[in-house]
Amino acid sequence: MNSSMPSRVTWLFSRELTIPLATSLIALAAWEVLVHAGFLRAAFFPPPTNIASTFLGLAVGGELWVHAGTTLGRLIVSFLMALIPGTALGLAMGWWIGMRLTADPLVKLLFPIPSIAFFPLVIFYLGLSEWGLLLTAAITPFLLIAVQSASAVESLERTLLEAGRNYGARGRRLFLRVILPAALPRLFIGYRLALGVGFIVTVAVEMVAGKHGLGGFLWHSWQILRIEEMYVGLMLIGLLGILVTYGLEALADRLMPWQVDLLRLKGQR
Amino acid sequence: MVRRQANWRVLVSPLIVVVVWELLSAAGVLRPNYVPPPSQLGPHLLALLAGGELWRHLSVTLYRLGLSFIFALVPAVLLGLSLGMSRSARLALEPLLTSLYAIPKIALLPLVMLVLGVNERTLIFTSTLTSFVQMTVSTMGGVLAVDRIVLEAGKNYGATGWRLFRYVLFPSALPDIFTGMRIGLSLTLVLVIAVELTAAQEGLGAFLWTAGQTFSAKNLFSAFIVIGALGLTLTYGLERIGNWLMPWRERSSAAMFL
Amino acid sequence: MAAVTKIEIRDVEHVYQSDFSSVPALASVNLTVNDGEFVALLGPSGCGKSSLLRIVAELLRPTAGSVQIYSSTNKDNGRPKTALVFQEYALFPWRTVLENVVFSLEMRGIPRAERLARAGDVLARVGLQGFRDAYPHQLSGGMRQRVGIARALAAQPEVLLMDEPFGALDAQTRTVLQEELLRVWENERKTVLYVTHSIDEAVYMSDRVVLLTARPGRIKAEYSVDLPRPRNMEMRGWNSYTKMSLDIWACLREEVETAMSHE
Repeated sequence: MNSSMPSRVTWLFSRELTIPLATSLIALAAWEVLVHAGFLRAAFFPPPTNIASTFLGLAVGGELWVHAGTTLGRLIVSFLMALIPGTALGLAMGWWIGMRLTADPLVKLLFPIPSIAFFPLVIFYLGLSEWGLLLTAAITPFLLIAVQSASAVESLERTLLEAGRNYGARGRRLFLRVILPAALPRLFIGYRLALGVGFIVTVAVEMVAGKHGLGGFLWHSWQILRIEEMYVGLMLIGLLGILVTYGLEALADRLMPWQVDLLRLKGQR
Repeated sequence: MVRRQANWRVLVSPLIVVVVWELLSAAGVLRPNYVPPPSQLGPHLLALLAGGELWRHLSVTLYRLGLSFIFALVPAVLLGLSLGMSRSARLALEPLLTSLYAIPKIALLPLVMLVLGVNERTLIFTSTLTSFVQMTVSTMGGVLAVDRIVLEAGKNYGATGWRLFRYVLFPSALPDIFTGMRIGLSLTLVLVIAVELTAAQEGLGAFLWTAGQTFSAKNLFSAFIVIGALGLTLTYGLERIGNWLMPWRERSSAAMFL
Repeated sequence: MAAVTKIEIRDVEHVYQSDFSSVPALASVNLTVNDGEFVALLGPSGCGKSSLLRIVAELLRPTAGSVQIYSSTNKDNGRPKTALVFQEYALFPWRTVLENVVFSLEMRGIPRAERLARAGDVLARVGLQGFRDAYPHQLSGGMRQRVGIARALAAQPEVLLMDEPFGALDAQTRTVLQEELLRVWENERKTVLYVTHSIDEAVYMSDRVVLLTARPGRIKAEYSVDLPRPRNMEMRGWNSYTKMSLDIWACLREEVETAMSHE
């Protein structure tokens, strides 16, 4: 064991944490000062303290959590709608060449289409409904996951499969005990991408359609010129994004303890 | 792994889909007002293109996309390189960059509209920001991912200071920088179209939305096809360019999206 | 014939400092290497031999002590002091084999025609003439390391530094490449500092084996290898070879066990 592993406490005081924290606080303080001094228009950039109190007000009120919950719920549901069929299709495509020849061209044709473009098409048939929103947010992620899953299977090390077979794993057991774990890291890369896209689409559609959710809340606040509320919405959207990203990372770490730093956003060290 | 042996195979599935679609329409299963058959769609799309209206919308969208990308490219790469190379700069700007990266830029639109007004400038600003944030993060990641040992070799063989950067660090980071460009363009296109959907008169997104509002399935599909074609061209065109620019990259199909 | 000092390592110490801890890697290393000598640095894992090499290569600054490399002629002829051959090859993936090999020459501003000539010559010596335009990822491990060696030779360094160059290769390729390296080396008889953890490799290749202790590394012992050159496989069966290997192992074993207990 390396003698240089830092303890939790020391990390707390390390430069890694203190510098970003310090710069954030300084920036917020500067913002506050500039507004009060008149250099920043309060109408556009309300002081952080106002935003904070608005946030507290809304948080206590409860309305905010309904919106946040709605968006989060939509995100999770649409993600699952994409994940299960996508992984299934991708694995099938990776494993059976027949599946690959049929499905691959279609998937390759559809996934580069800007995800938001599906929205008008979907609501044309489903109307401006919750299903419409969920489906739109699920399409491109579904395709992305399929592509990544297929690739995950294709890039499996042959030797792993041979070892599995040689040590008695066949059929379903080979799949569950060898193929799936081996493919998992690559699968998760696809999931991360899909989640990112899904999040963007969810928020975009909420803003366009104005239907509850944080996107709707954001848009509505702007329309009635409640700017502090708009900032709160913005903040929450950002937090949700970070939460979801780290949540996925934590899940990845838990499921794949053998893979180090798989999903760490490149450069976020 | 099956390599590009027979390219014609790629067309089989889509063709089958088109044929089945046509047959279902002919059989009455799909109502033409709801789901126009390819045989009607094709001519309609061509007519729209010939008419010029669709071109106009396409060029507006392309203009917005291209402009934002060009505005963002150099500053983003420069900033990304600096952040990758300087730990203190990175730590200082990290909170801001991470926050911006985590927020779908469309969520920033109301704020920008507030400050800049509801106009073209706002759209360009927001889409430029989208490209900018993505390319900065990818570039920074590319620099940080450079294998230390390659840098050591560079130094040992005479590349110091600026030359280490030009001959070793930069080429090493180039694939990631390029990926950042590709992802940046995709995201920006999504943003542009999303904004065009409700907040613009012109542009493919606007045309698409109007088509839906006026219940013109033919227009809807036509617009969708053109947008799709744009997305396809960008994605695969850039891949081609990437392969030409960086022949040393190992061709792995899935690495495309990372 | 008087031995000319080529490398002088004096009282070198090195400690790795991080935000949380300091790890001593080298403690008071003193070593003199003569011109044309092939010296093997042998030691257990973590003994600092790679660090020492990087210090000699001026990639790392020691916390104490100095390293002096003497040039063959007294004036500055533009030749680099050292050239490193890495265990992981460290080739530039975006450059072809040829472009990798001429890198140092390019950095020195040597004109294109001359660069190509030298590269061609060196590539022929390592047997890779046919692969000038290939990219590293298209080559096998053994071939990549040949490129690494070619790159080092093309640089015409005063001293050749090799950090477990064949460590990543299979035993057969390793044996072949050891012989090839010696053959190529015989030509110019450059001064070589060769890091390895294989006793066999150290004895087979070198004129002198320098044994390092476990972390923090210092020189424990030195063995003079009196086998005639050019070396060949048969010598591995000689009594003197075996005896020396066993002696070294007896001395090294202690350090290896100490190093293992550190973990």
